Amino acid sequence: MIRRLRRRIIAFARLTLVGLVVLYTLFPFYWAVVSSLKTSQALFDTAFLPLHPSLDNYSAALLPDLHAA
Amino acid sequence: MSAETPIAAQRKRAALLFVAPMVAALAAVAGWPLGRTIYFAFTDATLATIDAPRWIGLDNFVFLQHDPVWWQAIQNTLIFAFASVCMETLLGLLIALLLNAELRARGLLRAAVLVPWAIPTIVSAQLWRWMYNDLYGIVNAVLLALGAIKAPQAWTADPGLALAAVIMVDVWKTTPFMTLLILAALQMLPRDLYEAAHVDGVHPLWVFWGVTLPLIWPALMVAIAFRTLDALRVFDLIYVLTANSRETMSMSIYARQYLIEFQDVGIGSAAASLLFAVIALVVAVMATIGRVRLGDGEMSQ
Repeated sequence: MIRRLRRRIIAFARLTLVGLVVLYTLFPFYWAVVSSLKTSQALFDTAFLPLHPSLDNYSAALLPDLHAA
Repeated sequence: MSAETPIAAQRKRAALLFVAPMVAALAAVAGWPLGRTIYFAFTDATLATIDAPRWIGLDNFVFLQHDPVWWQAIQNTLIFAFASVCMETLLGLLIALLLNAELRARGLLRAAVLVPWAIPTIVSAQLWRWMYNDLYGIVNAVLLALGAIKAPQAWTADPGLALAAVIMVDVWKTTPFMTLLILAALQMLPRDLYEAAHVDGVHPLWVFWGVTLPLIWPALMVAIAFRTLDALRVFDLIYVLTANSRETMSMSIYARQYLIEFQDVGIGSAAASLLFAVIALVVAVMATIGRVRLGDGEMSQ
């Protein structure tokens, strides 16, 4: 009983650690994607989700002529 | 040695013939620029007068010796290399041990952990520059929310914080490299040693200290050597994050500033030559220490 409990605690701790490591390595990329979906005003707040996602930045990057006009 | 048979002599000649193209290529692409840089270090060459440099002896080195910015650059480079390599090794070892265990989606996890290393430094440095932003950066927002800091910090501009901030980005970026090399070493370890340790009821910490660490030591040393050499010539990461700021300037950035911005090829070359000398010195020290350790290992076997 105690052994099983111990094993579970270890498995849980390991999973938590793996989660932290993945969060640490991938968060900057997540943040880049979120920032890319924000409008230029929303860029300056630090909401973790793009509340009003827009593809403006992508169209500006892919179709510069359209935006210049 | 004096009584060389004709066949042995012929073999030697053939070997030299085969090596010659390689040596010629190396001399052309590595030897020539290096020799030119070292030569310019003793001249007053500028970008404008690069065709007719005048020999001025050690003047450039004397200038460097009296430039506090240069000494600061050396100090920054050494601190950067030492701190980042230490942290990357420890963190890489931890993550490698974690990922070496039986886990679901192990392959996917390994791929995910490798991502920071696969992205070009310029891109990831820009990502971090935005995250470090003093007004709109997520780093300040998160740390404020957690109560770790009282007021927003200018991470890359504050003289007391900039070098640490740069080191943290390097740790984030290059830990995957250490993880990868250590993980490869861990996978080569024979299972029966662990089974024996398990049967004997050895504590896991002792297994790590007595079995795992000695066995991965050679690979660990190679990884540390690679990283140290890489860290000593750091340029792009620091340049993107803090440009020519004195607080974080590395030796490479100093050399670039003199070569390109001040167009003083002589002083820039002197700085580059000294950087080369520092790296060569570190390689020599590491090779010596490495060989001593290797000898010990053979004795105990």
